[in-house]
Amino acid sequence: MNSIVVFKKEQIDDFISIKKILEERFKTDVISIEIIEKNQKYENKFNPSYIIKTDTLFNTEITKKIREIILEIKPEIIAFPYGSDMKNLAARLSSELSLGILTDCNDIMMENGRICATKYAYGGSVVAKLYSKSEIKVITFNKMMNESSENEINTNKTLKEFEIEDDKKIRLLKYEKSDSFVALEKAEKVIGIGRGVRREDIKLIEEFAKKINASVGYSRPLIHEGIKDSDYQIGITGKIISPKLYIAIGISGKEYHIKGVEKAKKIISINTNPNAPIKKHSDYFICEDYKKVISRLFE
Amino acid sequence: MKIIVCLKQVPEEEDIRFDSKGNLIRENIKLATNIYDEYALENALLIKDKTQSEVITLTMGPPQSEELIRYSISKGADNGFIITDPNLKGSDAFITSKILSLGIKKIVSDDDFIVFCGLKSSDGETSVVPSEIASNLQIPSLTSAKTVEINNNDSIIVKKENSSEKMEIEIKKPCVISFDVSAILLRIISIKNRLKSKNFKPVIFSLRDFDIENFDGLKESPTEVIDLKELKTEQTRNTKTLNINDENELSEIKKVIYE
Repeated sequence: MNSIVVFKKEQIDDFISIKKILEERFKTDVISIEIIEKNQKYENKFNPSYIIKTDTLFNTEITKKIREIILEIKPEIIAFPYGSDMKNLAARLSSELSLGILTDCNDIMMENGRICATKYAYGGSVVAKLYSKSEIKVITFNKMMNESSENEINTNKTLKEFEIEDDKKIRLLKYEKSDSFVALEKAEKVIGIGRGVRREDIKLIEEFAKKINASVGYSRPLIHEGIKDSDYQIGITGKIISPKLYIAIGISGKEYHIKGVEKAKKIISINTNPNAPIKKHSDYFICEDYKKVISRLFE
Repeated sequence: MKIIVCLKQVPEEEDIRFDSKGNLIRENIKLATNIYDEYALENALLIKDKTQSEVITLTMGPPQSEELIRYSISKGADNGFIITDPNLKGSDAFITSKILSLGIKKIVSDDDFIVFCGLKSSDGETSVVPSEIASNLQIPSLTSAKTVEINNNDSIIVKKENSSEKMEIEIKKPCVISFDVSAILLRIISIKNRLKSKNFKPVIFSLRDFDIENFDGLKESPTEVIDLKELKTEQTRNTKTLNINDENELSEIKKVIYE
């Protein structure tokens, strides 16, 4: 059995994790396709089986090349790592080939002779188990908890390199890397603000964060209200963080949030609900109004 | 120009309940507009404010989706369509995108259109419908946009922005763009539009309008849901409950925080 994993430059670690899952679960040979954006410098630290060079990841011709490779390899699974650009690619491919697609999967397994996958749905309060009836299964994975890939030795040779003509319909006009803000993933202290915080008090907490040198993230409902950009969302569909200290304020602690913070060394939660699910995931739990707690901490 | 906004009614998050076996209850639940679609609609209305465009909403769902279309009219959409048919029950993303594409073809008469969608639906969360619609219509797609601007007569500038990168992409019409939630303000419903929406009757399509017969959404779908279970979390840490009115416990917590 053959499988294909499509990934882009910064997803080598995801590729290796997905490859491991596929090899362990299905004893499959994994063929890799790396998509390289032409404007990016290419570091040759890993030799993928195929390379597709393109102007942007939204170039509509990419799927054509992937289809050529599919004809050659005849895979049973085509997998993609996390990312809305990768999902776009996977979706277009599945539509062109009339294949079922399963997205943001946490795991895949064989069950009753079928390849099944699990994923979060309904905002993370549900785990859905699905399967694809198609001969070739298109699967995109959720964010991975990657192990270091440094020990991965790769002696393969790249079989083929494709270069795609620039898409006349889509053009990248501007690209800027900004590092003005300390990414939540890198922060040593993070405060998470949840629905239990009154909107007029958000400023107060942001000031408190500044005082203790913490970055601020927000729970999913607040992001959906448009309080902050989705880039500040903590949780499995937002940022997965691993600070030394995480302080959850007014956050109930749904699974999708917990999955995003469980790697924190210490967790303090402040919540007026003594039965808030966040409690059992905290090292310290303070059952009190956050305003009172903050003013006590400032004393 | 026509801006077609695809909408979906989803279970209200507060109303997600499970039976005793931990299976999701799917009957008699309160419904709301998919939050991502709200941002797609708002972006369409912002274009309408500035240019001569017509905002048309489209949904596939049960007959009660009429309420959703009326809601979009109250927000400022000009017209709305529903695709409803009992045989569409159980359709997955692949089938849904096929049917929506057929609906779009009925609505547009030329190439002067764009399709706006939410990044994903907050129930199924597949995120693939926008890209699949684009693929069906053989037009380009861009996902996870924050804001857009009409560039000139034939293209749109899409801004994608997050903490680590900023992108501006030009995309030619016709195309499909999916929107993430963002910091743009969702407008308040005006009295004029509210009144207009009250008497609004959406155009209703059934499978017969697309010349489709003997169809079974569940069977035709290449993917199927096996089960939907409640996510339960186990105790993961030894929790110490602290009382901040106790000086010792307060200083313990201060130590952890200020360390």
